[in-house]
Amino acid sequence: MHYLRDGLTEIRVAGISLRYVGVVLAIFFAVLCIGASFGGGCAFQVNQSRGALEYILRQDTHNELRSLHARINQAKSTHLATNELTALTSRRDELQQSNEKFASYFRPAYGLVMAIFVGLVIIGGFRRIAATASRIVPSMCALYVAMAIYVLITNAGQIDDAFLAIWNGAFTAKGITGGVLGVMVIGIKRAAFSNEAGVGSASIAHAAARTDEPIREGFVALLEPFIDTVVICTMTGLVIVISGQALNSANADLIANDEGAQLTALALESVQSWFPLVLGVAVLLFAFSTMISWSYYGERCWTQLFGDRSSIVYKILFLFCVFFGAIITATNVLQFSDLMILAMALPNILGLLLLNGKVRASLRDYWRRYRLGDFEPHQPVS
Amino acid sequence: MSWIPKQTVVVPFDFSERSIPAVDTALELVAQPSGIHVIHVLPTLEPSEPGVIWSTIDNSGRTHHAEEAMKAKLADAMYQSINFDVEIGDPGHEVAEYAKRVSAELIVLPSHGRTGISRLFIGSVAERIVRLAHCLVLVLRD
Repeated sequence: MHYLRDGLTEIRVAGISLRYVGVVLAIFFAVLCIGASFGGGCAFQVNQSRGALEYILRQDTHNELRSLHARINQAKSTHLATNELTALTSRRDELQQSNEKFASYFRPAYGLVMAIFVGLVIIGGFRRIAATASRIVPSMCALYVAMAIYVLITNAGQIDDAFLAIWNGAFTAKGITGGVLGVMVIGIKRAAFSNEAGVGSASIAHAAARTDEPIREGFVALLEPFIDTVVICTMTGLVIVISGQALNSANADLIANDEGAQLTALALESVQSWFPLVLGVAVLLFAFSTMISWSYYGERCWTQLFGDRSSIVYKILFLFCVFFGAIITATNVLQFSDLMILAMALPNILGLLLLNGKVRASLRDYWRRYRLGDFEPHQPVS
Repeated sequence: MSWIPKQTVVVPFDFSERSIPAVDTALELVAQPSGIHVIHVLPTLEPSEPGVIWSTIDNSGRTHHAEEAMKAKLADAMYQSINFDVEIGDPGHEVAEYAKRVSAELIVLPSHGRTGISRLFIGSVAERIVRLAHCLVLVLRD
């Protein structure tokens, strides 16, 4: 927000200062960032991590349901005796009801536990919890990548078919409603949600970096979308497609309800039965650290609008969203989150376009000083 | 208000352009420059701040840097005897509490003149100090 409000003050168009444009954009950005922190940064994280854990805790039931689903479809196609089909259908209904009953207890409990842990950090000041989670996250990320690579290596012969399936799905009319344009919209939405490129949220964290060279920090920031989306998301997509879970009719409900974490768990389980357990822990830690980060983004925006003394109001609302995110459907959370996160990009990108001259000048100056050898090599602290 | 020079005067300092004239005004009202206490109030660190989570910043470091910055800003010879202090918290409350602690007779501060929505939501630090202070408060307007 500061770069919009203060940066645009120095820009003049046709002799007129863009100060008030900057103020309006900054307020607009702050409001949307608060909304995004409640949606994508909070409710969605809880929702997806809840989905992954729910699957792990009911893994046997889900496996039996998938098996029943396949047997029922086969029974219908082979005109199996009515009483046997009825027995299968009855057992499927029984298991689904059991899952729903479990969910009715688990979801609010999970939301409450997560709200307590997040509250301990953002209100209670127990930063050790957040610090520990943040330190474990890179290891979990590496472990997740290792699992995905293992799946890809195990199915190495199908990687090119998987890429082809993704490519064809994207560029044929069968791919998605709206054809290529629809795929682009979905792809851009999911990519922007994943790496937050152009949204302006990560810049709030980078602004807290201890550096005298903003351009250098910008280079560090460039790595994030590459690692996050080009590497991790591509691997996840390949794993889901290669495992056959993307086209499995038994997963139609999961796909329709945007239960991405559960779908990934299914895909990993097809290779090793214990992979979903690792995924569950990883998703839990990723969700927790992401919520802490987004609580910081939203809190900064809130205090800019309403003052430091009102930050407790934001924190309480945030914790409410943590609980709420665990009990509502993923689709609703995702739609709200997409709206807020993508809307944030509007004032941010407009501000970047107006300020690109300043950034370009800073970048030129940085490279000039770099070539002149002004920067001393980094000496590791012994 | 008595025009007898004050023994202890507190001047809140936020590094704005208006802060230095406030110190100059305090120098005119105080008996000795050593009776001036220039105080900067740092905001409270949020537990979710990246620097806090990764333990790369702490209050002692911030306090030290703020003190150094104030001394650099007020490096002129006439400011040499002034006391510099840094507190952490809400500016209005901390300045009022500090003034009580040092038994200040006067607080001199500029007003930034917030208006409109920011005044409604964020309020004026000057108003808060005037309301909470135990002593006289001189608010300097532009």
